[in-house]
Amino acid sequence: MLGSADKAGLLTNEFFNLPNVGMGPYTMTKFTPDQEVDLKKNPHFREPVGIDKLYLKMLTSDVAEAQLQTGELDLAQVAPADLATVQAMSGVKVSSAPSAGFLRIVSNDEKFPAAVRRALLTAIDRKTLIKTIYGGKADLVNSSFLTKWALPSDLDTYAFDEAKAKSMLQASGFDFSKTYSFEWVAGTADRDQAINVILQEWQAIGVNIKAKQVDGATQLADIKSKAYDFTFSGGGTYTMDPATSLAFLLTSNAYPAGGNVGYYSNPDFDALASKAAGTVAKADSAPIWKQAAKIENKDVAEIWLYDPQTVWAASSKLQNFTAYGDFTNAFADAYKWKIGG
Amino acid sequence: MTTTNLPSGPSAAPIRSSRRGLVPPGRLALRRYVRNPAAVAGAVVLLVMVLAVVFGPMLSPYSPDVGELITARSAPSAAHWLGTDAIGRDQLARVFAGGRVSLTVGFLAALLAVVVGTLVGTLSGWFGGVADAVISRIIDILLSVPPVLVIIVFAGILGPSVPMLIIVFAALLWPQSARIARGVVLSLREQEFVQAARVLGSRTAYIVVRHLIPGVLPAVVVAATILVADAVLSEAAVSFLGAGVQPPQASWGNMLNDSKSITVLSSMPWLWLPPGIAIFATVLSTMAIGDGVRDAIDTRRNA
Amino acid sequence: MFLIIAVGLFVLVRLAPGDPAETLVPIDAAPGQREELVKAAREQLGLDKPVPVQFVLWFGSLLKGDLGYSFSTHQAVGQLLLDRLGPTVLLMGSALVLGLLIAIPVGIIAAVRRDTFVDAAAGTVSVIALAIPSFFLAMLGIYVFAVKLRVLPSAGMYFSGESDVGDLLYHLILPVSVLALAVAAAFTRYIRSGMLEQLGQDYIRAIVAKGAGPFRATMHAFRNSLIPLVTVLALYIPAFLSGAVVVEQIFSWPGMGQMAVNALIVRDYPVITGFGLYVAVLVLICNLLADVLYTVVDPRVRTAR
Repeated sequence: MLGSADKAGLLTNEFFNLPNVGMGPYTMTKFTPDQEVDLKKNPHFREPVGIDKLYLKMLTSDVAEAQLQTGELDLAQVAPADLATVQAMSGVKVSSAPSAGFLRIVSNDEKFPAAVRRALLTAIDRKTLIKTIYGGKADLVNSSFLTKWALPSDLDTYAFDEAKAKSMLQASGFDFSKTYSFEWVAGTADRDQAINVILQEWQAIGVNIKAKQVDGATQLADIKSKAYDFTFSGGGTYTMDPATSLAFLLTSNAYPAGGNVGYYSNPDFDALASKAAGTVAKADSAPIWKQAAKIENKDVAEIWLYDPQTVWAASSKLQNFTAYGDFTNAFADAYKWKIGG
Repeated sequence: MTTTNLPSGPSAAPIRSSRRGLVPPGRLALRRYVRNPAAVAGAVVLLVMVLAVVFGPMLSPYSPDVGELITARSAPSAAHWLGTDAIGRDQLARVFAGGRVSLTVGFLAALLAVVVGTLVGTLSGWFGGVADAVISRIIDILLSVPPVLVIIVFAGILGPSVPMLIIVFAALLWPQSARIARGVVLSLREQEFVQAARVLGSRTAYIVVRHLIPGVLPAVVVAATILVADAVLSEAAVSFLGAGVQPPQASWGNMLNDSKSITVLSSMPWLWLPPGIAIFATVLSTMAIGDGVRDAIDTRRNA
Repeated sequence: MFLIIAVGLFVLVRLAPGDPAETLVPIDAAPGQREELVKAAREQLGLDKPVPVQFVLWFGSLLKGDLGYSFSTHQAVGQLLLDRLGPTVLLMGSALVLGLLIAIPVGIIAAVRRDTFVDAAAGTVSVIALAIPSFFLAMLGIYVFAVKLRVLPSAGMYFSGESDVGDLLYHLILPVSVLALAVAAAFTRYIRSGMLEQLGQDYIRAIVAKGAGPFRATMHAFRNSLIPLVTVLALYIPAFLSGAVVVEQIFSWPGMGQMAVNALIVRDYPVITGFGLYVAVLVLICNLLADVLYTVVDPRVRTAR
């Protein structure tokens, strides 16, 4: 209940970091913590704004879905599990777009070498996860770069194969006698379910692993002390430029200096990625990015899962709504919205 | 019952006299308990649940923690009597497994809390003075710590686990029964029969065991049944915060918690009804037992 | 006493693993320089000083009535608590009062008409109400009354943009009902059991024998059954005014509970300790009141204090 991703919605902290709170189509008139933000249209905006007043509410996704049905809400972010229910509501349109981040398992790379990570990734049936838990609304990811032009076409897809994963793990020198822990911040239904399935799949190839739900502060403390084995990470904004993903890939960004919480470190990758990031022209940098992506794909720097789509349900009264996957853009063309019929 | 509808006194007299000589009080209480249909029903239901939870997992062909993702959220069928959950685990196997956890947490925590609370509260109320002041302050302090904070802190330090939940719940719940016991003793110790006992030179231990504890028990037993309910329900609430029973291990609380979505509520009753009914039946039968025990040991009541 | 609670809270909060400065700085902020940002945050929050020094500074300003500032929102903690107090008292207070208004007559009648249909019905309903987890009852309530029947609003304090009292009352119905049902259920049991205890006593028989009507006898018994009731109430009120995290969350009600849990998650020490002190003060006040009330409702009690 505390994960902000489960809060439907319309309101996240990211929104407040945006300059458009002051310069955008709407200005804030009232803020009630844990409840709602009242916005009114900004008369000085470069374009005419379609809706006079806009209210952003903090609700659990269940209540948001209920309010969508009663007409109290016109737009809500929907949990993947409720997709079918929302689609069946009359007067509600569902649209979705890939988010700008992706879900991944972060392994403590100082404990688990690339061979182990490859085996663990092969043991996860990501396609079935997407089909059952996300209603098909998620895209497989096999690289930490989300920018299409930076990715070579021949990346290893680590297709699910339990038997192969088992023999890979046995060949990797993995210590089967130890008990490992998987810690994550619980509260988002789809993640909690996926993690339960993944733990099963890992246990099936002989990994002795236990779930450990933590809160954010404990998670960071364990990352800092390097006491953790596996943790879970999601979100982010990585579609604009492959360089944005370097925040969690470069050796020099190892936590706490940067966001590399998995302590991934490969000098070859560092050299190539830094060179690519320093190359201005896209045409010149793309081939270098592709080389770097190839290394990263082979190393399984992070145990990538998928990019879940952000699913928006809008009442048919709300016109001109376009679904954006990431919150940075979610309200980019809010000025075009209109309430009608 | 007479026309005034107040419990009439005189018929209680024979039992009092029989208590002194003819029938041992324990057997008399048992006899009274057995004559109470609700209390018997409660005991039977609880016994059935305990048996189901103990032996159910041995009979179930499925593991409660491992499922087939392909069959996720399927309705009850011949293969899965209670259907499957969001990741394809057999719901019946999870109800059995969850019951082990929920019943253990609920009863052990409540029992621990009541035993400690009654003793401390009774002694505190009886002795009064400095001892009472110190104990009352300790109780105040314990009560003034927000429970959620304590649970998260302990979950962080010790790691979330079933024993941790039992101890933390007991630590948070015992002051409640202590306060109730103390309040009753404060009133009891001024009453004639207690004062008479004191004047006649009875030892403190005798008065506590013979007069105070029996006087305190009815109120505490009622509180205890509510504590069991509290502990079972708290376990559900705590799983909200990720400090509860850890997955994949099931508990009735986290199963119910997993069902709080409009989709599940409206179209998948097999996911929320079984754990809901299980919690419901546990709380219901515990309370019936509590009422029965209270009536049975309450010597002022006629059989 | 106050000092012990203050020290206890201060230490307890810091025992939880995790560093507030770490949680304040986004994980991918300023790659390469994040460590400096965390260090700066730690200095700014005064967390770089040894814990005893932190305590003395905090306690010093506390004595001046200053609870400090939230690490995450930088609002004054006192103001933060005040902002949450109104909605909390409104929600929980109404639930408590409504619950007691139901429980007192029902509990008394159930005891007086013991073993009749009324008693059985009251007992059954109260047990059923106690056996359903509040979050589930809340969800069911929303589903039935807001989604299916569409007679009540599902969440929030007001309709968007509105702020009149009627609107507020309308939004209160569902959450207050959910909470009041639990209160009524628990207290019906307490009151019934307390009444039965008294009705069995010799003095009631004496009163009845002397010719008092059933009403007078009942009132006598009720007055004497207030002792355990006051004890339970003294326990209930502080817990109640600390907010109900789950119900607040579901009904999107800006109460104390949500504030405390959110503060806990980011290790917002000043807010957590501020909240803890608020609860401690509530408990102390209620206990004092209870002890005073004991002597009022039952003159036989000589309080130890």
